[in-house]
Amino acid sequence: MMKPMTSPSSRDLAPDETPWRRFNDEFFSLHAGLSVAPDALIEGLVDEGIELIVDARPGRDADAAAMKAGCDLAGLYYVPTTATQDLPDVARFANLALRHKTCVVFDENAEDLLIAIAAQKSMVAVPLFPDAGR
Amino acid sequence: MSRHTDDYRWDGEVASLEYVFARIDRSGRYRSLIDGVEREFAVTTSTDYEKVFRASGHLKAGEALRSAPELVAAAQAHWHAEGGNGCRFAMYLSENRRAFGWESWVLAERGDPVAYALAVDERVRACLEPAEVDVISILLPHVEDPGRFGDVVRALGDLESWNVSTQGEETDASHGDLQLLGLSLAIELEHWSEVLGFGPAAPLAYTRRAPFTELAIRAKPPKRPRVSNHRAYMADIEVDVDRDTMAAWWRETEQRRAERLGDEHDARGKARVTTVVQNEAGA
Repeated sequence: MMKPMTSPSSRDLAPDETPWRRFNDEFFSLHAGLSVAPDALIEGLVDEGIELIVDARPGRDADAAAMKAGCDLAGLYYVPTTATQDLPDVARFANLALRHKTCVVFDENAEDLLIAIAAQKSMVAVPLFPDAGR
Repeated sequence: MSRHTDDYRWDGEVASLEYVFARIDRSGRYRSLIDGVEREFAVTTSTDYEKVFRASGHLKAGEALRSAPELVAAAQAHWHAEGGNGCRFAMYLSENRRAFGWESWVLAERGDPVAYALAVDERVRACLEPAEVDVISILLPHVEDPGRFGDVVRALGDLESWNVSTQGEETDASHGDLQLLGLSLAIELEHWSEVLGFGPAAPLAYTRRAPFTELAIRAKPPKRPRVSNHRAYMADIEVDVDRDTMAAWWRETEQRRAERLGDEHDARGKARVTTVVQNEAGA
Protein backbone atom coordinates (compact mmCIF):
# COMPACT_ATOMS: atom_id res chain seq x y z
CA MET A 1 0.00 0.00 0.00
CA MET A 2 1.06 3.59 -0.55
CA LYS A 3 2.64 5.65 2.16
CA PRO A 4 -0.03 7.14 4.39
CA MET A 5 -0.36 10.87 4.82
CA THR A 6 -2.67 10.96 7.76
CA SER A 7 -2.40 14.07 9.85
CA PRO A 8 0.00 13.84 12.79
CA SER A 9 -2.67 15.12 15.15
CA SER A 10 -4.42 11.77 15.16
CA ARG A 11 -1.63 9.46 14.11
CA ASP A 12 1.63 8.48 15.76
CA LEU A 13 -0.17 8.31 19.08
CA ALA A 14 -1.01 5.13 20.92
CA PRO A 15 -4.73 4.86 21.71
CA ASP A 16 -4.09 5.74 25.34
CA GLU A 17 -2.24 8.89 24.34
CA THR A 18 -4.90 10.27 22.05
CA PRO A 19 -6.57 13.21 23.75
CA TRP A 20 -10.30 12.61 24.23
CA ARG A 21 -12.43 14.66 21.92
CA ARG A 22 -16.14 14.32 21.49
CA PHE A 23 -16.01 15.49 17.87
CA ASN A 24 -13.49 15.26 15.07
CA ASP A 25 -12.07 18.45 13.63
CA GLU A 26 -10.90 16.75 10.45
CA PHE A 27 -11.92 14.09 8.00
CA PHE A 28 -9.94 12.27 5.39
CA SER A 29 -10.18 12.22 1.63
CA LEU A 30 -8.98 9.73 -0.89
CA HIS A 31 -8.78 10.39 -4.60
CA ALA A 32 -9.50 7.04 -6.23
CA GLY A 33 -10.85 6.03 -9.59
CA LEU A 34 -13.23 3.18 -10.13
CA SER A 35 -10.33 1.06 -11.34
CA VAL A 36 -9.16 0.60 -7.75
CA ALA A 37 -10.43 -2.75 -6.48
CA PRO A 38 -12.86 -2.42 -3.55
CA ASP A 39 -10.93 -4.92 -1.43
CA ALA A 40 -7.65 -3.03 -1.83
CA LEU A 41 -9.33 0.30 -1.17
CA ILE A 42 -11.07 -0.94 1.97
CA GLU A 43 -7.96 -2.68 3.28
CA GLY A 44 -5.98 0.54 3.06
CA LEU A 45 -8.67 2.48 4.89
CA VAL A 46 -8.96 -0.15 7.59
CA ASP A 47 -5.22 0.19 8.17
CA GLU A 48 -5.79 3.91 8.71
CA GLY A 49 -8.46 3.26 11.33
CA ILE A 50 -11.24 4.67 9.19
CA GLU A 51 -14.74 3.99 10.56
CA LEU A 52 -16.94 5.35 7.78
CA ILE A 53 -16.58 5.76 4.03
CA VAL A 54 -18.53 8.32 2.05
CA ASP A 55 -18.23 7.13 -1.53
CA ALA A 56 -18.61 10.15 -3.79
CA ARG A 57 -17.63 8.68 -7.12
CA PRO A 58 -20.31 9.23 -9.74
CA GLY A 59 -20.89 6.12 -11.79
CA ARG A 60 -19.70 3.80 -9.07
CA ASP A 61 -23.09 2.02 -8.91
CA ALA A 62 -21.66 -1.24 -10.26
CA ASP A 63 -19.14 -1.29 -7.43
CA ALA A 64 -21.47 -0.17 -4.65
CA ALA A 65 -22.61 -3.67 -3.74
CA ALA A 66 -19.02 -4.90 -3.57
CA MET A 67 -17.99 -1.87 -1.51
CA LYS A 68 -20.90 -2.40 0.89
CA ALA A 69 -20.15 -6.09 1.31
CA GLY A 70 -16.46 -5.38 1.84
CA CYS A 71 -17.21 -2.66 4.39
CA ASP A 72 -19.63 -4.92 6.28
CA LEU A 73 -16.94 -7.56 6.47
CA ALA A 74 -14.30 -5.07 7.59
CA GLY A 75 -16.52 -3.34 10.15
CA LEU A 76 -16.83 -0.01 8.34
CA TYR A 77 -19.88 2.05 7.53
CA TYR A 78 -20.45 2.56 3.81
CA VAL A 79 -22.40 5.63 2.69
CA PRO A 80 -22.73 5.83 -1.09
CA THR A 81 -23.65 9.11 -2.67
CA THR A 82 -23.63 10.94 -5.92
CA ALA A 83 -21.63 14.13 -6.21
CA THR A 84 -24.59 16.21 -5.17
CA GLN A 85 -24.20 19.37 -3.17
CA ASP A 86 -27.76 19.41 -1.98
CA LEU A 87 -27.57 20.97 1.44
CA PRO A 88 -29.27 18.17 3.39
CA ASP A 89 -26.78 15.63 2.07
CA VAL A 90 -23.76 17.80 2.74
CA ALA A 91 -25.00 18.50 6.26
CA ARG A 92 -25.54 14.79 6.84
CA PHE A 93 -22.05 13.90 5.68
CA ALA A 94 -20.54 16.64 7.81
CA ASN A 95 -22.45 15.45 10.87
CA LEU A 96 -21.26 11.91 10.27
CA ALA A 97 -17.67 13.10 9.84
CA LEU A 98 -17.82 14.92 13.17
CA ARG A 99 -18.62 11.67 14.97
CA HIS A 100 -16.93 8.92 12.94
CA LYS A 101 -13.40 8.79 11.58
CA THR A 102 -14.49 9.37 8.01
CA CYS A 103 -12.90 9.12 4.60
CA VAL A 104 -14.56 10.65 1.56
CA VAL A 105 -13.57 8.70 -1.52
CA PHE A 106 -13.87 10.92 -4.58
CA ASP A 107 -12.81 11.46 -8.17
CA GLU A 108 -12.42 14.51 -10.36
CA ASN A 109 -16.18 15.00 -10.53
CA ALA A 110 -16.69 15.26 -6.80
CA GLU A 111 -13.91 17.52 -5.54
CA ASP A 112 -16.36 20.30 -4.71
CA LEU A 113 -18.08 17.99 -2.26
CA LEU A 114 -14.98 17.88 -0.06
CA ILE A 115 -14.95 21.65 0.18
CA ALA A 116 -18.66 21.77 0.97
CA ILE A 117 -18.41 19.15 3.74
CA ALA A 118 -15.40 20.86 5.30
CA ALA A 119 -17.09 24.26 5.16
CA GLN A 120 -20.29 22.94 6.72
CA LYS A 121 -18.65 22.30 10.11
CA SER A 122 -15.32 24.13 9.82
CA MET A 123 -13.44 20.87 9.40
CA VAL A 124 -10.17 20.14 7.64
CA ALA A 125 -10.01 17.61 4.82
CA VAL A 126 -6.79 15.61 5.11
CA PRO A 127 -5.71 13.72 1.94
CA LEU A 128 -4.76 10.04 2.20
CA PHE A 129 -2.51 8.23 -0.29
CA PRO A 130 -2.37 11.13 -2.75
CA ASP A 131 -1.08 9.00 -5.64
CA ALA A 132 -3.63 6.20 -5.41
CA GLY A 133 -5.85 5.59 -8.41
CA ARG A 134 -4.52 8.47 -10.49
CA MET B 1 -51.24 28.99 23.48
CA SER B 2 -51.52 25.48 22.07
CA ARG B 3 -50.52 22.42 24.05
CA HIS B 4 -47.74 21.78 21.58
CA THR B 5 -45.96 25.02 22.44
CA ASP B 6 -46.09 24.13 26.10
CA ASP B 7 -43.43 21.48 25.57
CA TYR B 8 -40.30 22.50 27.41
CA ARG B 9 -36.64 21.97 26.54
CA TRP B 10 -34.46 21.78 29.63
CA ASP B 11 -30.94 23.04 29.16
CA GLY B 12 -29.85 22.96 32.79
CA GLU B 13 -27.39 20.98 34.87
CA VAL B 14 -28.01 19.08 38.08
CA ALA B 15 -25.25 20.98 39.88
CA SER B 16 -27.18 24.24 39.77
CA LEU B 17 -29.73 22.79 42.21
CA GLU B 18 -27.35 20.64 44.26
CA TYR B 19 -28.00 22.71 47.39
CA VAL B 20 -31.70 21.86 47.08
CA PHE B 21 -31.16 18.17 46.36
CA ALA B 22 -28.81 17.88 49.36
CA ARG B 23 -31.87 18.23 51.63
CA ILE B 24 -33.75 15.27 50.18
CA ASP B 25 -35.00 12.65 52.60
CA ARG B 26 -35.65 9.55 50.51
CA SER B 27 -39.01 8.02 51.29
CA GLY B 28 -39.21 5.32 48.61
CA ARG B 29 -38.20 1.77 49.46
CA TYR B 30 -37.85 -1.47 47.58
CA ARG B 31 -36.38 -4.83 48.45
CA SER B 32 -34.53 -7.04 46.03
CA LEU B 33 -33.85 -10.71 46.57
CA ILE B 34 -30.73 -12.56 45.41
CA ASP B 35 -30.42 -16.24 46.25
CA GLY B 36 -32.74 -15.73 49.20
CA VAL B 37 -30.82 -12.75 50.57
CA GLU B 38 -32.89 -9.58 50.84
CA ARG B 39 -31.51 -6.06 50.37
CA GLU B 40 -33.35 -2.82 50.89
CA PHE B 41 -32.79 0.33 48.85
CA ALA B 42 -33.99 3.84 49.54
CA VAL B 43 -35.05 5.81 46.48
CA THR B 44 -36.06 9.37 45.81
CA THR B 45 -39.68 9.80 44.76
CA SER B 46 -41.45 12.70 43.07
CA THR B 47 -42.98 13.52 46.46
CA ASP B 48 -39.50 13.88 47.96
CA TYR B 49 -38.48 16.25 45.18
CA GLU B 50 -41.68 18.20 45.55
CA LYS B 51 -40.98 18.71 49.26
CA VAL B 52 -37.50 20.15 48.78
CA PHE B 53 -38.54 22.32 45.85
CA ARG B 54 -41.37 23.72 47.94
CA ALA B 55 -39.15 24.26 50.97
CA SER B 56 -36.58 26.10 48.87
CA GLY B 57 -39.20 28.32 47.26
CA HIS B 58 -38.79 26.91 43.76
CA LEU B 59 -42.32 25.57 43.85
CA LYS B 60 -45.11 27.90 44.82
CA ALA B 61 -47.91 26.95 47.20
CA GLY B 62 -50.59 25.03 45.37
CA GLU B 63 -48.36 24.40 42.35
CA ALA B 64 -47.89 20.76 41.43
CA LEU B 65 -44.38 19.60 40.58
CA ARG B 66 -45.51 17.94 37.36
CA SER B 67 -46.73 21.32 36.17
CA ALA B 68 -43.26 22.87 36.54
CA PRO B 69 -41.34 21.37 33.59
CA GLU B 70 -37.95 22.82 34.49
CA LEU B 71 -38.15 21.22 37.94
CA VAL B 72 -39.46 17.93 36.52
CA ALA B 73 -36.43 17.74 34.22
CA ALA B 74 -34.00 18.73 36.96
CA ALA B 75 -35.43 16.16 39.39
CA GLN B 76 -35.26 13.36 36.86
CA ALA B 77 -31.70 14.32 35.91
CA HIS B 78 -30.74 14.28 39.59
CA TRP B 79 -32.32 10.84 40.01
CA HIS B 80 -30.09 9.50 37.23
CA ALA B 81 -27.06 11.33 38.62
CA GLU B 82 -27.51 9.91 42.12
CA GLY B 83 -27.50 6.38 40.74
CA GLY B 84 -31.19 5.52 40.70
CA ASN B 85 -30.92 3.46 37.52
CA GLY B 86 -27.88 1.55 38.76
CA CYS B 87 -25.53 2.57 35.95
CA ARG B 88 -22.31 4.33 36.96
CA PHE B 89 -21.87 5.75 33.47
CA ALA B 90 -25.38 7.20 33.49
CA MET B 91 -24.54 8.95 36.76
CA TYR B 92 -21.55 10.64 35.16
CA LEU B 93 -23.40 11.52 31.97
CA SER B 94 -26.32 13.00 33.87
CA GLU B 95 -23.95 15.10 35.98
CA ASN B 96 -22.47 16.51 32.76
CA ARG B 97 -25.40 16.68 30.39
CA ARG B 98 -24.26 19.51 28.19
CA ALA B 99 -20.80 18.04 27.73
CA PHE B 100 -22.20 14.74 26.52
CA GLY B 101 -25.20 15.96 24.54
CA TRP B 102 -28.03 14.69 26.72
CA GLU B 103 -31.07 16.67 25.65
CA SER B 104 -34.31 16.70 27.67
CA TRP B 105 -37.82 17.62 26.62
CA VAL B 106 -40.75 17.76 29.00
CA LEU B 107 -44.01 17.23 27.15
CA ALA B 108 -47.22 18.95 28.07
CA GLU B 109 -50.38 16.95 28.68
CA ARG B 110 -51.72 15.40 25.48
CA GLY B 111 -54.37 13.12 26.92
CA ASP B 112 -54.56 10.57 24.17
CA PRO B 113 -51.73 8.01 23.77
CA VAL B 114 -51.70 8.53 20.01
CA ALA B 115 -51.33 12.28 20.46
CA TYR B 116 -48.45 11.64 22.88
CA ALA B 117 -46.83 9.29 20.40
CA LEU B 118 -47.03 11.83 17.60
CA ALA B 119 -45.51 14.49 19.85
CA VAL B 120 -42.68 12.19 20.94
CA ASP B 121 -42.00 11.22 17.34
CA GLU B 122 -41.79 14.85 16.24
CA ARG B 123 -39.41 15.84 19.04
CA VAL B 124 -37.17 12.82 18.67
CA ARG B 125 -36.83 13.01 14.90
CA ALA B 126 -35.62 16.59 15.14
CA CYS B 127 -32.78 15.44 17.40
CA LEU B 128 -31.48 12.52 15.39
CA GLU B 129 -29.28 14.22 12.81
CA PRO B 130 -27.52 17.02 14.70
CA ALA B 131 -24.12 15.67 15.75
CA GLU B 132 -24.37 17.35 19.15
CA VAL B 133 -27.24 15.21 20.46
CA ASP B 134 -26.21 11.85 21.91
CA VAL B 135 -29.19 11.09 24.14
CA ILE B 136 -32.76 12.34 23.96
CA SER B 137 -34.95 12.18 27.04
CA ILE B 138 -38.65 12.71 26.60
CA LEU B 139 -40.33 13.25 29.94
CA LEU B 140 -44.06 12.66 30.31
CA PRO B 141 -44.94 13.96 33.78
CA HIS B 142 -48.67 13.67 33.12
CA VAL B 143 -48.37 9.96 32.35
CA GLU B 144 -48.09 8.26 35.72
CA ASP B 145 -49.88 4.97 35.25
CA PRO B 146 -47.74 2.13 33.80
CA GLY B 147 -50.68 0.94 31.73
CA ARG B 148 -51.06 4.33 30.12
CA PHE B 149 -47.30 4.46 29.50
CA GLY B 150 -47.62 1.09 27.80
CA ASP B 151 -50.36 2.55 25.58
CA VAL B 152 -48.02 5.37 24.54
CA VAL B 153 -45.27 2.86 23.79
CA ARG B 154 -47.63 0.75 21.69
CA ALA B 155 -48.86 3.85 19.84
CA LEU B 156 -45.26 4.75 19.04
CA GLY B 157 -44.76 1.24 17.72
CA ASP B 158 -47.49 1.90 15.16
CA LEU B 159 -45.60 4.86 13.69
CA GLU B 160 -43.10 4.72 10.86
CA SER B 161 -39.50 4.16 11.99
CA TRP B 162 -40.55 2.77 15.38
CA ASN B 163 -40.99 -0.85 16.34
CA VAL B 164 -42.51 -2.42 19.42
CA SER B 165 -42.07 -6.07 20.27
CA THR B 166 -42.64 -8.45 23.14
CA GLN B 167 -39.38 -9.18 24.91
CA GLY B 168 -40.77 -11.76 27.29
CA GLU B 169 -43.56 -12.58 29.69
CA GLU B 170 -43.50 -13.02 33.44
CA THR B 171 -45.87 -13.67 36.26
CA ASP B 172 -45.66 -11.40 39.25
CA ALA B 173 -47.33 -12.25 42.58
CA SER B 174 -48.62 -8.68 42.89
CA HIS B 175 -49.48 -7.87 39.29
CA GLY B 176 -50.29 -11.17 37.62
CA ASP B 177 -49.27 -11.87 34.05
CA LEU B 178 -46.86 -9.29 32.67
CA GLN B 179 -45.63 -8.45 29.21
CA LEU B 180 -42.17 -6.98 28.66
CA LEU B 181 -42.33 -4.45 25.82
CA GLY B 182 -39.29 -3.41 23.81
CA LEU B 183 -39.48 -0.21 21.79
CA SER B 184 -36.84 0.63 19.23
CA LEU B 185 -36.31 3.46 16.79
CA ALA B 186 -34.61 3.50 13.40
CA ILE B 187 -31.69 5.90 13.51
CA GLU B 188 -28.85 6.89 11.17
CA LEU B 189 -26.78 4.25 9.35
CA GLU B 190 -29.42 1.51 9.48
CA HIS B 191 -29.21 0.98 13.23
CA TRP B 192 -32.05 0.57 15.70
CA SER B 193 -31.86 2.36 19.01
CA GLU B 194 -33.23 0.52 22.03
CA VAL B 195 -35.42 2.87 24.04
CA LEU B 196 -35.19 2.81 27.83
CA GLY B 197 -38.38 3.52 29.73
CA PHE B 198 -38.65 4.87 33.26
CA GLY B 199 -41.64 5.55 35.44
CA PRO B 200 -42.84 5.93 38.99
CA ALA B 201 -44.67 2.68 39.60
CA ALA B 202 -44.68 -1.10 39.54
CA PRO B 203 -44.44 -3.32 37.61
CA LEU B 204 -41.44 -1.53 36.11
CA ALA B 205 -38.04 -2.91 37.08
CA TYR B 206 -36.56 -1.41 40.25
CA THR B 207 -33.82 0.30 38.22
CA ARG B 208 -36.52 2.00 36.11
CA ARG B 209 -38.56 3.36 39.06
CA ALA B 210 -37.91 7.03 38.49
CA PRO B 211 -39.85 10.04 39.77
CA PHE B 212 -41.38 10.63 36.32
CA THR B 213 -42.19 8.70 33.18
CA GLU B 214 -39.41 9.01 30.65
CA LEU B 215 -38.29 7.62 27.31
CA ALA B 216 -34.50 7.79 27.04
CA ILE B 217 -33.17 7.26 23.54
CA ARG B 218 -29.65 6.80 22.24
CA ALA B 219 -29.71 9.09 19.23
CA LYS B 220 -26.63 7.86 17.41
CA PRO B 221 -25.27 4.58 16.03
CA PRO B 222 -22.07 3.05 17.45
CA LYS B 223 -18.65 4.14 16.18
CA ARG B 224 -18.48 1.04 14.01
CA PRO B 225 -21.41 -0.85 12.54
CA ARG B 226 -22.91 -3.63 14.59
CA VAL B 227 -23.48 -5.74 11.48
CA SER B 228 -24.94 -8.79 13.22
CA ASN B 229 -27.91 -7.06 14.86
CA HIS B 230 -27.77 -3.29 14.12
CA ARG B 231 -28.46 -2.47 17.77
CA ALA B 232 -27.63 0.93 19.23
CA TYR B 233 -27.71 1.61 22.94
CA MET B 234 -26.45 3.79 25.75
CA ALA B 235 -23.37 1.69 26.44
CA ASP B 236 -21.89 2.96 23.16
CA ILE B 237 -21.48 6.49 24.48
CA GLU B 238 -17.83 7.44 24.81
CA VAL B 239 -16.71 9.10 28.02
CA ASP B 240 -13.52 10.93 28.90
CA VAL B 241 -12.18 8.59 31.56
CA ASP B 242 -9.07 6.43 31.56
CA ARG B 243 -9.09 2.68 31.04
CA ASP B 244 -8.82 1.81 34.75
CA THR B 245 -11.73 4.04 35.65
CA MET B 246 -13.74 2.60 32.79
CA ALA B 247 -13.13 -0.94 34.02
CA ALA B 248 -14.00 0.03 37.58
CA TRP B 249 -17.22 1.66 36.46
CA TRP B 250 -18.24 -1.43 34.49
CA ARG B 251 -17.71 -3.60 37.56
CA GLU B 252 -19.60 -1.13 39.71
CA THR B 253 -22.48 -1.02 37.22
CA GLU B 254 -22.76 -4.79 37.06
CA GLN B 255 -22.77 -5.03 40.84
CA ARG B 256 -25.29 -2.22 41.33
CA ARG B 257 -27.56 -3.63 38.67
CA ALA B 258 -27.49 -7.15 40.11
CA GLU B 259 -28.11 -5.94 43.66
CA ARG B 260 -30.92 -3.61 42.77
CA LEU B 261 -32.76 -5.85 40.34
CA GLY B 262 -32.31 -9.07 42.28
CA ASP B 263 -33.47 -12.33 40.77
CA GLU B 264 -37.04 -11.19 40.29
CA HIS B 265 -36.43 -8.10 38.15
CA ASP B 266 -33.38 -9.18 36.17
CA ALA B 267 -35.23 -9.82 32.89
CA ARG B 268 -37.39 -6.70 33.01
CA GLY B 269 -34.35 -4.52 33.69
CA LYS B 270 -32.52 -5.47 30.50
CA ALA B 271 -31.68 -2.83 27.92
CA ARG B 272 -33.99 -4.41 25.34
CA VAL B 273 -36.98 -3.85 27.61
CA THR B 274 -38.63 -0.43 27.53
CA THR B 275 -41.47 -1.04 29.93
CA VAL B 276 -43.58 -3.71 31.58
CA VAL B 277 -47.35 -3.91 31.35
CA GLN B 278 -50.00 -6.16 32.74
CA ASN B 279 -51.49 -8.52 30.19
CA GLU B 280 -55.03 -7.46 29.41
CA ALA B 281 -56.47 -10.68 30.76
CA GLY B 282 -54.65 -10.16 34.04
CA ALA B 283 -55.09 -6.41 34.27
